[in-house]
Amino acid sequence: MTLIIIISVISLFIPFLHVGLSRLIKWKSNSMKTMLPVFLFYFFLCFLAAALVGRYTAPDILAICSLVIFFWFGYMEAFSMICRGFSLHIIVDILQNRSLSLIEINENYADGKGIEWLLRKRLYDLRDLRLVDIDGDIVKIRRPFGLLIGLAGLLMKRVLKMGEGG
Amino acid sequence: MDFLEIMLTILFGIFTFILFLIFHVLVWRMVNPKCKGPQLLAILAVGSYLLSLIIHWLYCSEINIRHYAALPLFAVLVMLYSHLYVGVDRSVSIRILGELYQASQGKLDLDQLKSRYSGEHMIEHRVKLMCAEKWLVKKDDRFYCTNKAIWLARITLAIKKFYRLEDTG
Repeated sequence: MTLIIIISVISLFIPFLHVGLSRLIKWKSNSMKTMLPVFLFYFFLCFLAAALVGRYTAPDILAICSLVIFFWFGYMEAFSMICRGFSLHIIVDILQNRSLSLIEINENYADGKGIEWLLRKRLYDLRDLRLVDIDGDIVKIRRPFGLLIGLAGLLMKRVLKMGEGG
Repeated sequence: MDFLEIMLTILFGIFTFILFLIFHVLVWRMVNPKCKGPQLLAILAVGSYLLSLIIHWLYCSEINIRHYAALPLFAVLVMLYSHLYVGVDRSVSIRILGELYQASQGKLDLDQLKSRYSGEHMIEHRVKLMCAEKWLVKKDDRFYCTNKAIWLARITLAIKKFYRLEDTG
């Protein structure tokens, strides 16, 4: 229980570690390059704290690793929503304009960039991840990972009887 | 002894996660789509862990499980799976990959992609969902934020300022 409390308290400081480190090394906070050193530093702090309270048996190490991954991925999910969350950006756009119609939401999405911008951004992100190729106006899925992820998504929706998604 | 204990703890965590996946598939194939979501996933996760505890107590109580290690392990597996689930359910990118997979030769031009998954449909579908979940309210064909959405939006703007995030979306 002590271990859970200690790691939970350290985890509250992840945003400050993230911002502090990204400003120190002058990298963008939403860059993947920044995430890795922040994670490693957070990981190190948790293990240091555990060692200081004398907790270093195999079950303790398993608990620490699990808790660190749990809190880190929770944080990454929350941060990803702020950076890329579709619903969140719609809510912010509506708040900033007090109210919007459907057409206005389309046109104003993400500070006036519009929904066309979102689609292109997602396509370029997929290209950068080497999941698709873009040649002019043609988008082609890449083997093997693009194909695998596309198939996995469709299978999961079919097995779990989910909607089309997106 | 330590090695055996840690292996049994890991096995317990994995067994509980497999139980959770089985319940998840069974329940998802039976319930109303409106009930499906992260909250129901959380209930299934808690139920799975409790069931595992009962099974452990009834059939192998002599085996010592370190629950302070097994529970975080199970929580990590559920958390990682939840990311996958929400991604498949809501992600624009995964939807695009699905459309491309189903297309002939795995390719589409932009007009074809937009006809299968248009921006307007994207927005309409998501706004409908947000109205159902009481983030937005519709009056005279215009959408307004509810109180909880206003707070969330303000917190988001403050966080973006804190992180100095530009060009998000």
